[in-house]
Amino acid sequence: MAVHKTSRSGLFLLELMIVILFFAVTSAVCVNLFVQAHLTSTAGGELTAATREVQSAAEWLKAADGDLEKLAAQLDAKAADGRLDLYFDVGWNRTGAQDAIYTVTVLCAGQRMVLPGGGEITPAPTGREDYFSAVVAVWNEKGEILQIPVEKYLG
Amino acid sequence: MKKEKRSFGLSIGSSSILMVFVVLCLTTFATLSLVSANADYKLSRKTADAAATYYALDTAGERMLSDLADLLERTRPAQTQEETACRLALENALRDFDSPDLSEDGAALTVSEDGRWLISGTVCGADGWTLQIRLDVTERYWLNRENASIQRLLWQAVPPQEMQEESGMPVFQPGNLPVG
Repeated sequence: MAVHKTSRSGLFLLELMIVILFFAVTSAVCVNLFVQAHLTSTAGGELTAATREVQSAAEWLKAADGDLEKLAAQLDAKAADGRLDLYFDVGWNRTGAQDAIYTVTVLCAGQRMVLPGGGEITPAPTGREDYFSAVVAVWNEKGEILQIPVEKYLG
Repeated sequence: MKKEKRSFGLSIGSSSILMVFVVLCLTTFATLSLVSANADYKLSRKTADAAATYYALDTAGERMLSDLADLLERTRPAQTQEETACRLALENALRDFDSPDLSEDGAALTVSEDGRWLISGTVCGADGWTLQIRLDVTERYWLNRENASIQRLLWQAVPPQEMQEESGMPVFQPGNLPVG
């Protein structure tokens, strides 16, 4: 009887060890899937918010007829040297340059800007007074998220 | 014979069953999360691409408008010019009008019943998107008013045909009501 009891507990222990091992492997795979899902979801959310902010800035810019000073006054920001920056925190709320995670940059024709990831913002040149050209881009420390050209004939 | 007492609360195999259940749950939820996140990301990507396409198209439209404004400036009628001659001059000018993104049909002039001078055209963008434009040039061209702007009556981005067919949802249509 004693031998039988020992073998039973030994079997249970063996089964438990195999179960734990298998569970560790599968849970590692599942955690990996969850992490991937989280990262993809974060990237998706980031892209959606970036699109929204870029479109918003682009429409403001068109409404201001490309006048950065006017745009800066509307959006409570500062414009200098044909460039205007809007800073956003991790939740896409407006913040200062110090706490910024994301930056929306409006760059007018004649300017050029190199982004952290090696990308570049170069608005198409115009050469006429009744036409403005700019690029609105969203970027973070990793690089560009989205950029769109904004042009308008003012006549 | 005395029966052997069970010393385990958990019999052999029950831990395996529990583990299989937990692993199945974990795998299911993890896969669902990933599929859902991927679908969300694809939608976000589509939205971003659509925005980029729209603004590229809009930019092409603005360039075409700028070229058209130059053309109108060149063919601006003299105050004494009669309407038929003026119309003919503009139609001829529009026939030769060539802007990089303008469709093969070019731009066409129509004079509406209420005497408005309208120019219509289509700008072609990437991936089959088009921008349909209708402009009122009465003030700028025909009435020859200084600093008069070209009015935009229509500025509509149209998705490619296959995308329009895709977007049709099987929703209720009045004609689909069963008879009887």
